[in-house]
Amino acid sequence: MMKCEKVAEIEDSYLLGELEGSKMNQIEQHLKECASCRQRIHGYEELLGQMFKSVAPLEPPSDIRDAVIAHANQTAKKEKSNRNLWPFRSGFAPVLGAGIAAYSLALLAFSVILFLQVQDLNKQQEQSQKVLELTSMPDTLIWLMTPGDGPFNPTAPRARMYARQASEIYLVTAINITPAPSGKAYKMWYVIGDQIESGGVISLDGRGTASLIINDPDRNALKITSCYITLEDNILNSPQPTSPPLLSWKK
Amino acid sequence: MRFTSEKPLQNPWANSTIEELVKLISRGDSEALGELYDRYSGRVYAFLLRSVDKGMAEELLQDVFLALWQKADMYKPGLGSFDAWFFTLVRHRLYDALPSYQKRLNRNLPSQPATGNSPLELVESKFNMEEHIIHLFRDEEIRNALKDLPPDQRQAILLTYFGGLSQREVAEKLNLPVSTIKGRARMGLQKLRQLLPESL
Repeated sequence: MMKCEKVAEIEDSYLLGELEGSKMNQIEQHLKECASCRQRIHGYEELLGQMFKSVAPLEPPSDIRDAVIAHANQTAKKEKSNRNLWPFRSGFAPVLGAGIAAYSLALLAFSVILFLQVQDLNKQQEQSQKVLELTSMPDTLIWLMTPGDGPFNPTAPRARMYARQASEIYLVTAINITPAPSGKAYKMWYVIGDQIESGGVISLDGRGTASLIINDPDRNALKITSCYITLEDNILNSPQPTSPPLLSWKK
Repeated sequence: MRFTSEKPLQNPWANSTIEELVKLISRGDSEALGELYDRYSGRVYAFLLRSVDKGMAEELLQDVFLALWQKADMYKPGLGSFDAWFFTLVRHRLYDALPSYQKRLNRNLPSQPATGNSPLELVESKFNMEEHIIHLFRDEEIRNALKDLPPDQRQAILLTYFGGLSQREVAEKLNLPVSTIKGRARMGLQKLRQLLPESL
């Protein structure tokens, strides 16, 4: 088996995919058996994946998509999972007949509930589509809000704001945030010209991470000159911040 | 009650997670492949264009998604993120193709005047492209972390992992041993991991 020192020596070539087949197989075999090397190399792969996620997309020619799908359909190496939704056939008809009335009543009640839920689901689906569009478009602006201008500290609280010209929503995400003291709440603000706009209250989960969707914002994202998060009194619904920024970004 | 009949039909995959799409692809669902292509092709294409010309980038883009079609069942969500797995696949496809691509360029452009397309010229231009490669990243946090790296480590990472140069090419150009470039890239990755310990 390849030794750890050898793996460390060639791990960059492995990450780049420069290794020839036999060495590639040897290193993969080693990673199956050595937790330490596996953890280190997977850490690098995650880092590179994180960077890849941030690459600004460029739209490829549309015919490539058609070619990929056509080729995939042609090769169709696997059968589509055409599951039989009615595995019981004529032999089970009497059983179905006896239960059908009760089933219909239950179905009616279920349909009413489902109908109400579908409305919520539609709204959620629309929202998800907007978030996906906002975070994946090449012209989306992403600003980092930090505690100050000091050296970068990975454990310090920080937040990002995603905004796009004419977008129906803006998005704010944050990590390493401590819970707000009792009676207080974190609020997000952004500045367009002389106007300070409220983005709303940021709710945290138990791990100190948070996200906020700002619905129907001022659509002129290109004119935003700063954004920041403050700690405000919960009961005061002030249209302006009343405390200094904890995290901020300025153009 | 409001129905949205005036709007076009919603994409049925809009709420599907990447893991769900990959699972469907591994079962042979080409529509799920189409959705994943829509979400990722722009990034793959932008990445490839840093290393090869447009024609080759298009060829490789197709190749990458067909490889995904074939290998989707090899992705195990419990072992890491899809982005990490998929970008590894993209990198490997690119580096597999680079030697023959460069040979092709050498063969086709031996006596032509400078066009910026010969391998040597590409290497030269890539050495001046660091700043452009940094702006390949939309995320300010990643750009800042890259700027915080020592210049030689940043150069080694950007030119090899995102610029399509081999470590040997970088070493030859800088007149340094390959081991030095390897060391710089390794140190740079370690430092970047400290600067970017997790995504938001």
